[in-house]
Amino acid sequence: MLWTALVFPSLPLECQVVAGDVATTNEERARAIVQQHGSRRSIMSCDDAARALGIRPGLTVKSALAIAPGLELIDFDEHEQAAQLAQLALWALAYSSRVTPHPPDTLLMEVQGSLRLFGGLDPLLARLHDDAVGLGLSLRLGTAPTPAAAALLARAGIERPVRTSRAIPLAIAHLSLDHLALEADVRQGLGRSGLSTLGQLSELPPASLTRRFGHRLVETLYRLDGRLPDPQTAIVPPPTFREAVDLPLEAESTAGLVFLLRRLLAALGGFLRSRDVGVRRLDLELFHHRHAPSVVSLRFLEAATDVAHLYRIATERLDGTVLIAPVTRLAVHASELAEVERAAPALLDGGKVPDASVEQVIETLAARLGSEAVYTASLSDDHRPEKAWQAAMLSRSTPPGDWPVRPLWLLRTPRPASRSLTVEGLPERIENGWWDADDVRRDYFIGRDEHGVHFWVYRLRHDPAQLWIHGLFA
Amino acid sequence: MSELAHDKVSSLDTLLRTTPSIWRGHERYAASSGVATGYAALDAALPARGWSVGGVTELLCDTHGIGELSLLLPALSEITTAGRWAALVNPPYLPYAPAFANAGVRLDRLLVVDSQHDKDALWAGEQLLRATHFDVVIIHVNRTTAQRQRRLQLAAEHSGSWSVVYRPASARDEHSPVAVRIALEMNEGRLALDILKARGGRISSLVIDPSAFDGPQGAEWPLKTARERCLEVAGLHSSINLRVV
Repeated sequence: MLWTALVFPSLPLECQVVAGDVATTNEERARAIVQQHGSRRSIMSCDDAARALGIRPGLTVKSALAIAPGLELIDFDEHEQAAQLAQLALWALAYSSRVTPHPPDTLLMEVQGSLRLFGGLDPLLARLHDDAVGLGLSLRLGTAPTPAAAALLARAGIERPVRTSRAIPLAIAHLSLDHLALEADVRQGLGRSGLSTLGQLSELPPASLTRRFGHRLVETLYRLDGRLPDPQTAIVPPPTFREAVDLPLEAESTAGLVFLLRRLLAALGGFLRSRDVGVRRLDLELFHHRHAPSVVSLRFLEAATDVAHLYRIATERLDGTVLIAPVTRLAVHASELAEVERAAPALLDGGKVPDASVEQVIETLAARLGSEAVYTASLSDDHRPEKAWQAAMLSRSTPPGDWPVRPLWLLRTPRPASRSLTVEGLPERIENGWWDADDVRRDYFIGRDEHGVHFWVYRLRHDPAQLWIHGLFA
Repeated sequence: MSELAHDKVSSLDTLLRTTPSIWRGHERYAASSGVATGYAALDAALPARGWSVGGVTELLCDTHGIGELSLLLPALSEITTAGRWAALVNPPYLPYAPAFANAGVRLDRLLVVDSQHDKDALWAGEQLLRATHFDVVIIHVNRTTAQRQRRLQLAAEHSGSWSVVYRPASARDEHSPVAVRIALEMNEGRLALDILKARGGRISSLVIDPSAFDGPQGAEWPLKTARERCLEVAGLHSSINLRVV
């Protein structure tokens, strides 16, 4: 088995970013996340701007504010962070069916089973990186045959994968003990004994280590190289998808939602892949302060699985949505799911992006112009001109055309002919629909005006004096 | 040695001929493919021997009902019956299904897109052109700019599809960076085509008689005078008159 650990070192900060462009936000102001330990409040992590001012993790809030008075402090919210990590775990399901979240900032996934699908480990890791950048997240990866070693490598920032268990001791020997999650007193005790790297620790007899520091330390060491089993409980994807995120700042316009939407849809993408389903209907729920939530529903002609397509449609629809009030919370609810067949792995291997299907193009148009504005016409079984056709989307049958002369353009509502028209030939009498409200009794002719334009005109049988124009022979 | 040089020249020649983005002024677009218009005289007058694929064809006309759409019906029928897609963006009236069915157009391959504004119509047209499924995208607009036409032209070139843009005849003297421009008007009961621009070809004028539309419309073209019928029966009738300027 091969495990990859995903460590998100700046997750609390990155959850607070509203706009997609992380860089500009950083320039505007320095931010730091504050952690509470009893009565002591200290900096847990900070962004680059804060680091440039001299802020370091571990500083007390008082000294941090003395260095940088303008520093924006954000309280660490454990639940918020756990919820974010759970969403990221769903996203990670796109890459592996076995994903385990380890709060506060680590995901572990088994990747041996995914190698073939992604064409090897390197393409897989590269895609993870690209995805994380797209979501505005900084990500550290570590890959090793045991979960503990993978997490250790990721924390230490060593991305080069370790492929066999035998190579683990050598690969981690020079790493500092700080990267292990040890209890504080154990860590201090080791430091006082002059031990700082894993290599030094592994040379000592396990029995004496257990005597001095307790059995936990040795167990931790044994899990690293696989001498002790380290079972991981993989998350089970929920039967339905409904994820929400609170906005750090109320969004006045839908543009402020787009970035968070991308993260929610990334989670949806992993969910869809793990369940092998596509979404037919997606509800975007926008929560407001003191208003009922507004819902934007997206419907898809064929079950959609492509996150990029979902995102395109959703942003197009949000673009045209007027907010009744600022948005405080955004939820994505996949309310109708349908099973789909997955594309063969060969498609992914080539690195080729398949062309958007006709349905996807049509949905893109409908998202902006409205669903009733995009259609194909089909014939219906009625002789009345207005009812001889109907708008139908992608009906698969076309009866052969054996109609008498008909114009290419039909007026939605006939208009009285004002100009003098030359009418020739015998009329075609259409008399139909006496059984419903739209009774039609007309004599149709072909008319021509002085410019040579051809019209489809009719006279009402009870009022033969007036000619009505109903179509144009284009 | 000389053989090698000759090889090089001929391969360069092949390259110049087969690369669609290189156009050499002295020759016609003989190599590039076209969709047959269904009207022999028009095919002969156009450089691609038909509608140029991979570009925009502008049709300038002010009045509807002169046969401006019938001109495209043979191509539409050919494209849709082959299972390819066609799109009609921002049509001025309801495209009437029975008439299209009569003309042999597969209705489930003809996408209709209604839009409120010219801007939306051009946007939708560009989206459709960029998708590779649509062989022809027919767009009706009232106002457009050279810049927007260039976007369409580039999108069509990129995907190798064909776009037809109907715009008012008042735009006749405006610059437009498209492949083909044809002005349409009714002249003594006949449809007069004035080819204003044809990339790789020459400008010319021709006239299509209404009777030529019989086939495409799938039923007899509405009006024929008694005299015309007589001529037709007598076999004296020439349906298309070509006059090269």
